[in-house]
Amino acid sequence: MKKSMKISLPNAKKVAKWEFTKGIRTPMFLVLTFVIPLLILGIGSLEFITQEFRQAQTMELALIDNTGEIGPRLLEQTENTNIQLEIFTGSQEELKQKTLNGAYDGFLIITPENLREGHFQIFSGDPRNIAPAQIRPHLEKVITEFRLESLGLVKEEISSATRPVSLGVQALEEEAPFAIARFLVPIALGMILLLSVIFSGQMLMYGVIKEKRNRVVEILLSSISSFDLLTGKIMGYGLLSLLQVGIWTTAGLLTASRFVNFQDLGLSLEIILPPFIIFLLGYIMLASLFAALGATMKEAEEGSQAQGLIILIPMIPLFLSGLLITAPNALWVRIFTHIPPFIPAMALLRMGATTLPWWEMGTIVLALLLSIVLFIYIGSRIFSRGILQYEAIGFKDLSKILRKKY
Amino acid sequence: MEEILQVENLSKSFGGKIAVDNISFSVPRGQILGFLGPNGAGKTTSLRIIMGILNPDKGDIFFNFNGKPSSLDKTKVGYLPEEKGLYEEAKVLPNLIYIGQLKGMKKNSARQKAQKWLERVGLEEYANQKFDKLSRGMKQKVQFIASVLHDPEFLVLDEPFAGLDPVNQNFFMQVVRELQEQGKTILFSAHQMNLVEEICDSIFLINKGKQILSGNLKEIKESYKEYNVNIYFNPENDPSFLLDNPDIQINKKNIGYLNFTFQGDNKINKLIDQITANLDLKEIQASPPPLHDIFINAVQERGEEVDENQFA
Repeated sequence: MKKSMKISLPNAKKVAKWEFTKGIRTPMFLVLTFVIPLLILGIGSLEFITQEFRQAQTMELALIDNTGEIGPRLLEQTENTNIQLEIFTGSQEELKQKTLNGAYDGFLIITPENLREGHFQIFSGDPRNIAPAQIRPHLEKVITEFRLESLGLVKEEISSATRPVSLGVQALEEEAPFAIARFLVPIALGMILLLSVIFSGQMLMYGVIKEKRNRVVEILLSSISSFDLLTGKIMGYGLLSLLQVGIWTTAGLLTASRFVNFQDLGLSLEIILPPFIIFLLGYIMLASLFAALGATMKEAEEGSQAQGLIILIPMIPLFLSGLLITAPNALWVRIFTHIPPFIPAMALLRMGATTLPWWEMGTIVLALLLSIVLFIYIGSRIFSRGILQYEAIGFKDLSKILRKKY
Repeated sequence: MEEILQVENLSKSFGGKIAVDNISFSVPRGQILGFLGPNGAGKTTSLRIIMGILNPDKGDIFFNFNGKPSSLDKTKVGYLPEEKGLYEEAKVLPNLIYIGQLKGMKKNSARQKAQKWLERVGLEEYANQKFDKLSRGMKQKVQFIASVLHDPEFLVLDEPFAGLDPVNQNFFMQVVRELQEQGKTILFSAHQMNLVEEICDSIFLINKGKQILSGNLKEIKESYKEYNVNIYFNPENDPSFLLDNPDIQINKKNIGYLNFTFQGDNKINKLIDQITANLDLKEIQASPPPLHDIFINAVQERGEEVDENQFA
C-alpha cells in the first residue's frame, strides 16, 4: 500500500487542462485579467490626453517690457507654440483691468531689476489658467542668451556655452552603455509575481477549498494520486497566471511605448531570461504553498484571512527593497535569498540591484527547485489526507499528517 | 472461485479511536458483496483504504485483475464515494468526460459512453446543464455514471442508496443487477439492510469496526434454521395450539392475525400442515429471518449492544 511520489505527467496534464479551461471562464479571472489592463491603458491614455489637452490649450499672455530687449526676443522664441504673447504698451493698471476683464490669462512685467535677480512673476485673474512650466523654458533661454550677450559673447560662443549636458553610466566590461532593463526587468517581474500570487494564487486556493466543500476530491483521489492532482492544479493555474501576466505585460508595454523608447532600455534575452526563470519557479513554489494552505481550510472566508498572511510572508523582501538594493551582496541578504519562501522576491530584487555570479544563480535555482518539491510533497500529503476531514485542520492535525501515515 | 479482492487483517484508527478492527474478507469475481452495518460501523473507512485514499495502520489488500495478482489499478475500479459531489459550476457532460479521462479513457470515448449512460438513466436532456442545477436524485445518477463510465471490472459503491426515494432506490438496484449480469464484481456498503439483501450474493456485517458475520447470504440464512411466519385467519378460529408449541415464539398477536418466529428448521412443512388443518386460513407467509434480525442476533450473541438509531 505504499504510495510513491512518482508523477504521472499525462494525469497531471489532464488536470492542468481542466483547471485552465475551468479557470479561464470564471468571472473573477475575466474581470482581473481584462479590467487591470484597461485600467493601465486608461491611466496611460488619461496622462496622454491631459498632456495633449494642456499643450493644445493656448495661454494668452501680455508683456510689459521695461528693458526693451527681452520682449521681441521672447515674442520670436514663443512663435508656433501654444503661448500667445502680446507686448503691451499701456500702463500696468490698465493691463491689470484688462486681465481681470478676461482679455488675457495673465501678464508678465520685465524690469532691469528682475532681469538681474532672475525672479519673474505672472499676474493672473485666475492662476489655474497659467502653466508656468510651459513658458519658463522659453523665458530661461531668452534671458540666458541675453545675459551672455551682455558679457560680450558672440552667437557661436553662446550656442557652445548653452549646449545641454548629459550624464550616462558605462559598465566597465561592456561596450554598450548600461542597460536600464537590467534594473527594470527583475523589479517589474517581482511586482508581477506579487500580483500573480495575489490573484491566481487566490483562485487556486479557493479552488481547493471549493473542491473540498463539493466533495469532488474523493472521486478525484480514487482516480489519480494526490501528487498528480496537486501538480496538475499548479500547472493549470500557472498557465492561467502566465496568460494573465502576458495580457497585463502587453497592455503595460503598449501604454509605456507612448513615453519610452524600448531600444533605450537595452532589452535582450540574456537580461530577461534569468529573472524570468526565478519568476516562474517562484510562482510555482508560492502556488504550491497556496494549494497546501487551501487543503487545510474549510471555508473561503478562512482562506481570505490566511491568504493575507501568506502573501505577506514571501513578499517581506519587497518592503525591505531599500535595504536590499543598497547592500545586495551582504551576507544576511545572500542567506535569505536561499530560504523559502523568501527566495523569489529576494532574488529578483537583488538581480535588479546587482549582477549575481553564475554560481549563486545556480544555488538559488537549486534552492527553488528543492523548495518546490518539498512544498508539493507537503501539500499533496495534506491534500490527500487532510482534505478528507472536511473540516479546518489545526497545527496538531498538520504535524500528524506530516509525521505519520494518516 | 477466483477472488477479485482480498482484505487481510485490516485495522485503522484515528486519534486513538478504532475505526476498523482487524477485519478480513474477500470478494469473489462476478458476485455482489454487501458490506453492511449501521452508521459509523467503519464501512466508509474500509472502502477508502481499499481505494487507496487512506493508508491502513495494519493489514494487506490484494487485487486480482484479468486473472493476475496486482496492486490497485484505479483504471479498473469504479468508485462511488459516500460523500457525493462533482464540479458544481461545470456542466454535466464535461464533468463526466473529465472523470472518464482521469480513469484513462480517450476524450471521444468518454463522451460517447457518458451520452449513452445519460440516456440510460433518463438524463440526456441535462447533459449541458450545470451540475448544481440538478435535483439530488439526478446528481446521484450522474455521480453513479462517473463511477461506471470507464467500464471497470470491479465496482465499489459506498452507500449508493442513501438519500434516495423508493423509485430511485429500485432503479439503482436494477442497474446494479444489470452490471452483475455483464460480469462486473460489485462491493457496496449500506446501512439499510432489508433494502439491499435481495441483491447480495454474499455479505460482510460490521459493527463498531469489528467483523460480525460474513459469507454466502443464502447459507447464512439457512444456517439460522429459523422462520418468520405471518398468518391471517378467520377471527372465530382458536390459534392456542400454536401458543403451546415450544419451537414458536410469538412476536405479535391480533384478532385473526399472528406473527411468530419458528425455530424448527425442517419441521416447517409439518407446521404448515398443522396450521392449514386447524385454521380457516386467509394468508400464510413463512420466510427466513431478515438480515437486520440476523445482524442484531449476531451482535447480541457477542455480548454487544446495537443502537437501532444507527440504522436510520
